[in-house]
Amino acid sequence: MPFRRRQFIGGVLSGFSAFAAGVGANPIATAQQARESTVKRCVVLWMDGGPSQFETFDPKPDSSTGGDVGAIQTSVPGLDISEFLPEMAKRMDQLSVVRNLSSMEGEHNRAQYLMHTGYPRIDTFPRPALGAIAAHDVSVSNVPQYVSLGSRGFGPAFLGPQYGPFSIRDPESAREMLEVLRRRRSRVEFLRDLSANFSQRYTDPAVQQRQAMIQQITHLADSPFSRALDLERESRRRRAAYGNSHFSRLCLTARRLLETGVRFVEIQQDGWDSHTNNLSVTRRLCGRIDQPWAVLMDELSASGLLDDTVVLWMGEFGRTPDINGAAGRDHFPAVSPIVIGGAGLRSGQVIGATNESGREIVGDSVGVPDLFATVLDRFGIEADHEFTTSFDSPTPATDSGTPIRGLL
Amino acid sequence: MTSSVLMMIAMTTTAINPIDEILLRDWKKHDIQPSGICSDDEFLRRVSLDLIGRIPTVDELHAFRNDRDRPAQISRLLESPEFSRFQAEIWTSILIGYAEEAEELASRRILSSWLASAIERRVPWDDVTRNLISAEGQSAFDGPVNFLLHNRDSPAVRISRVFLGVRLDCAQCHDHPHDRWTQSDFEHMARFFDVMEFDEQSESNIILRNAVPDTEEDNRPRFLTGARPRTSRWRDELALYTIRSRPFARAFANRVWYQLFGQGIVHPVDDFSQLNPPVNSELLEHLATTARDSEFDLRRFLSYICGSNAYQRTSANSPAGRSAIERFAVRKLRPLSSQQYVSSVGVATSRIFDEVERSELLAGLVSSDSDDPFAATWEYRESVQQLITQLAASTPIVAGSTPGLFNKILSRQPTARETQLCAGRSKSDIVFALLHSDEFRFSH
Repeated sequence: MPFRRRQFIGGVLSGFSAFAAGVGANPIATAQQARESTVKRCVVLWMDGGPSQFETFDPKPDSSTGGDVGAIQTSVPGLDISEFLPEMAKRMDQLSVVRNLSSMEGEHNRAQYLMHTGYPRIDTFPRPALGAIAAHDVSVSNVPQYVSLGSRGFGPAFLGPQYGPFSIRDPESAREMLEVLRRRRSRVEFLRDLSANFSQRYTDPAVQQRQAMIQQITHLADSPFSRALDLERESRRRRAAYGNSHFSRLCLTARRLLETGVRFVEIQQDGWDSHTNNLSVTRRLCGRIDQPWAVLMDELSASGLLDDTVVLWMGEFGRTPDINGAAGRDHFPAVSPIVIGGAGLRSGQVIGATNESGREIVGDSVGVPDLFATVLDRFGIEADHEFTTSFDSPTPATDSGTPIRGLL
Repeated sequence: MTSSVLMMIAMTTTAINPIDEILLRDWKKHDIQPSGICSDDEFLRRVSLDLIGRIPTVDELHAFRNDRDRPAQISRLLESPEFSRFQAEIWTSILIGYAEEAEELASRRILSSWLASAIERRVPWDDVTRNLISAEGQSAFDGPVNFLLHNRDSPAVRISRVFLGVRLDCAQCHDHPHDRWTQSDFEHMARFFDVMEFDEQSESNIILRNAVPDTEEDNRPRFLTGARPRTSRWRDELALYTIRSRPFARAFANRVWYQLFGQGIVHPVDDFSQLNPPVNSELLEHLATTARDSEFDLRRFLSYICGSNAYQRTSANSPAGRSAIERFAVRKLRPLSSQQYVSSVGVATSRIFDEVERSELLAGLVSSDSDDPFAATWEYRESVQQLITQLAASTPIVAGSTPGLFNKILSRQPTARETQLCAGRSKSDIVFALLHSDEFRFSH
């Protein structure tokens, strides 16, 4: 039985509304009708810690701030990127490098929040993650719509707990758990038989929701989603093409999940917070992401998925032009590197620029809300699309963002 | 239901408690049928969860079945050391949220210990409140300091929500959409904390003290009632204004009621506003007066409410309808809190978790993204993932016959149908089914 999210939600929430209307305890988001969109998915490569733009996509080999990393040509004439990313250099025609995104959040937690929700964190007004916004737009699905690989993901806030992230630290162990449940099918059915009496006596929506989830789980255990987590099903050659690192496996898993119909996948690579030994750290991490990301791009492109998949590479913030006493770079939200492509966005270009030293943006800058506006635009969601929160407050999807001109 | 039938129900039940009188009048007025009184097994499970945060042990179950003295059981639970610890946990979450945040300076453990000790020593709740608001000292030693330390960015917001039931947060940015609080009110309340100074003595010890306040008229604070401090001890005065105010008594009464019923008289419990009036003003005022008259003695107040018939209504519904539940004619079903769940699993499987294990189990259950940081709602928030993890975990070994397992895990006897269903199934299957049942997962 397909995982009928909308229906299930409709059923449970109408029960909830009858139960709790006017109480405000249950977050019910009522979205206006989104306009037509052909874009079906998004993959975010999250570089946790804040990746240095100097050693990735905005190298400055001629400046004293550039460090010891050289620049190499790419498949886009006039665009040079760091020599640490040779494979990606060949694929830059499929992506745009945004060099003028600027933010104010220089602290990790707050910056992560901003980059995931498009809003600064206010404890009394939680905001939904981009993945949750993408997920809530889906009508019927066999699979969880917002999956986070290697990180815990960010919450759905007022959109409702059903749009929260499905966090997988390790696809193998997640698959094993689902496999355990598949084998336990008879036991889980016994659980449901024994519970039948209770759920008939207590028609509380929460009980119904829980029973519905247990049923979904029994189907998930034997579903395309579970099979997508089984990397052994890929040929050895394919697996080897991605590489051997954990990130490699996550990229391959992401591709399989996207093919299965998951709408939003986030893949995390830790370790970019290079306050010390920036050069060796970035060299190592670039080495870790270069090949898998390149293969992911190739496979998305070859299968045609790239045309309706947003690809977004980013981290909390960029890093300082000036190298500190520990050969490291510190936080520098003033210039936060972004790479974005797919889904019909214009590619093979640079948006914005920094000056020779990289200390300042030259010309116009864009903000995180604008980035969000751009991605949501691909999903057919306007930047000022109104959600209604649980306390009846209308609130826009972005913090007054406008889509970045050069990308659309 | 006719009034004479309602009167009969009232007469046949054991105590004519003013709470019940008020509710009966309300139900009659709204033509609501109350559910019946719960069974002894149901009562024991419910009151154990509500007062000491866990299901009863099999021994306690058998003892109560022989005894059947509900008021005596209430007293027994209120005197238990588990009571103080559990209530301290509840209030700690209300004061500083559920989840342990990264880079948290405040110590949850030290605050919780202090609260448990205060509750154990029967410190009146207004005194506890006064200590929390006016605290000075060192976070490593003085429990209440951790409350303001955690809330140092927005202390006025938390204090208003927790102790006055008022959501000043909206007024932070603009004049409150549906109430009379303005940005000016918020700013003036926030000024009481201008004197608050934190001094990091070491990474794990922060000193909280009061600075000398700015005496310029324009910068002085103002309580929501309009009162201004007359001395330089601003926070002490704020504490006194707070605990002496009527909203304090109402907010306290409402929160305790909410803890016992899963539904506040004003709901959500920290949203007293013109657009969110109490479902039964008479009840609220009666409880607020009772709380103040009994000098905010937590045990006495809990005992008073638990002794009512209202507390003992079943939750099993015929189509009960929202109104019946909101007016406390039918008990609301609610999920066990993560603390109740972990403690109850321990009892059901005869395991004693040490502090580390317990923290880990709690961390897995508490989803800080979706939980209300103000602990004002008690909803079922399990994610599909959490369920998968639970269902896929290895099933603990529990000894006993089928009836034994039902008593141990669900605190009741199996029905004939259930006994039949279980016949021929392995013990492990039965334990799995019972531990993961809705019945176990919810308080009813």
